[in-house]
Amino acid sequence: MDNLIIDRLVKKYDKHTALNDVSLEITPGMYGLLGPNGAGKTTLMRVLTTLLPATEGEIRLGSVSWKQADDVRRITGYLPQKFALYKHIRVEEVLDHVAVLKGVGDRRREIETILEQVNLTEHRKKKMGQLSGGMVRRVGIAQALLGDPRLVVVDEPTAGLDPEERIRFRRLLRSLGRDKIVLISTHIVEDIEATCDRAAILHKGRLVEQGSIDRLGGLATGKVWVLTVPQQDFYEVAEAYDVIASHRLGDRYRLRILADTPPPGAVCAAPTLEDGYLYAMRRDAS
Amino acid sequence: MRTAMRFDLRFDWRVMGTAAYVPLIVAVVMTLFEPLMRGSLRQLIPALEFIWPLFAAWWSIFLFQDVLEEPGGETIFSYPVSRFSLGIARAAVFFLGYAMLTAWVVGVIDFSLSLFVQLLAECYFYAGLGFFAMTLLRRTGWSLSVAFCYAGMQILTGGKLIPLLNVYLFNQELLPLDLVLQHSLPTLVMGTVLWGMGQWSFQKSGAYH
Ligand SMILES: Nc1ncnc2c1ncn2[C@@H]1O[C@H](COP(=O)(O)OP(=O)(O)O)[C@@H](O)[C@H]1O
Ligand SMILES: [Mg+2]
Repeated sequence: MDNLIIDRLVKKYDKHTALNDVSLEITPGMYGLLGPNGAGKTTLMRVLTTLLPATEGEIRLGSVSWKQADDVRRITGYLPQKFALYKHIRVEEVLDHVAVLKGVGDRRREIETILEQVNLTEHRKKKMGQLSGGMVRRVGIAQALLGDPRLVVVDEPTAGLDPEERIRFRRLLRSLGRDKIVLISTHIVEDIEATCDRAAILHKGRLVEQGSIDRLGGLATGKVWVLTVPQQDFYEVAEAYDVIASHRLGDRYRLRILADTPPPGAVCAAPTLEDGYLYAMRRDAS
Repeated sequence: MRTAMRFDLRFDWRVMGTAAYVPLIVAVVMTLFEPLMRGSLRQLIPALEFIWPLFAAWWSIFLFQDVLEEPGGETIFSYPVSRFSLGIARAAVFFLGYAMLTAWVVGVIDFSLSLFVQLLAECYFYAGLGFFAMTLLRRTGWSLSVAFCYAGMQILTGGKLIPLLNVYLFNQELLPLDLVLQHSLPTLVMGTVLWGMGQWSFQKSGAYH
């Protein structure tokens, strides 16, 4: 299977540069795009789905070039961050309509299979407006999967879902990447941890890091410290150091600190993806 | 290979919900005017002219409610369907339906080719106005307001508000066909400009929510 190749991509909105010289090779499977709000994730997704033209640069997937938007639309599926459509129409009718627009051959059969895959078979007769947030997202995945796209693009998949729905939706996402490139953008590290094998970090329109989840976490190796302090010392430590997490343990606090040199009394900790992400962002900002 | 033209008209109708039926109801009401005004063309023709063409904007606006007004509309633009068929072609198919309704209304009231041509030209203008307003404003409410305000202003001022853009003939009797054709030409030209601008604005709509 081919990789998706993004080569020196630039996207400008008037004067503002939302994507600045982004080069990335995305391998088949689940690929994460991590970055804070305003990093340019949605912009990249819209360029990948041909909704926005690139200002400069090239994108290719095998023999398909993004210069031919029509060809790209035949091989991509897209679930935008806000997917609210056709509130008074039944789920199966919406999917049938999408299948018509995508030119799917055997619509009935493909819709059956996909409803099964996203676990919506029993809700197929419900109107879109009656579905929970998690179910709407699953319809969103279903419409993206119709027509068997090679590239599936999912923007902020868990935004607006409650914790239970999040867990279930991540499980569904995880199952998609077998024979496709599935690109998931999010500002939530757990989304990536739970679903992706590899990821890239985007910050202010620039690509900061990329690689396997282990490698990204490993960026913070030797920089993450755990320090337990009494309650009254909390603010003092928080001012002196870059505290990235804190847990209350009785009348003490256990703090997770990002620092090049160990704070007195701190113990070195094994870094997580979140640590690596925060470290890469701090390093990029300075 | 060019992007395909694909239609799903039954679905388009379903999506409009109850709004889809409004032009049908207005058509029936129009035909009820005939017995109500005891067939007096002096009253019937203005009543028809002031109400019927205006509602030609209706389907042009509501067809695009989900695609343009809802935040999920960008999904539809990611499908392998041409914007031509999602936009102007779909609106034109529904305008064709409205033209048939017009023929029916005119047929029931007083079959006259000149009245049909007069109304059809005005309907064409309004369908274009609705299409352009909706693609530009992306809100059904505002788009309807544009059409209703235009109609209200022109009718109240007898077409003198912006004489150049007036589409109404304000006749109280049937006119000869050649006179109607002559007056309808500017209306058809304006209508075509509106349809064209509507598609242009639909084509470049990329300011996503
Ligand atoms: N249509 C637009 N016009 C102008 N600027 C935009 C537009 N969309 C996004 N931006 C700007 O581009 C930057 C990246 O936005 P976005 O791609 O939405 O980031 P993210 O999805 O990572 O939060 C932001 O600074 C945003 O304000
Ligand atoms: Mg975003």
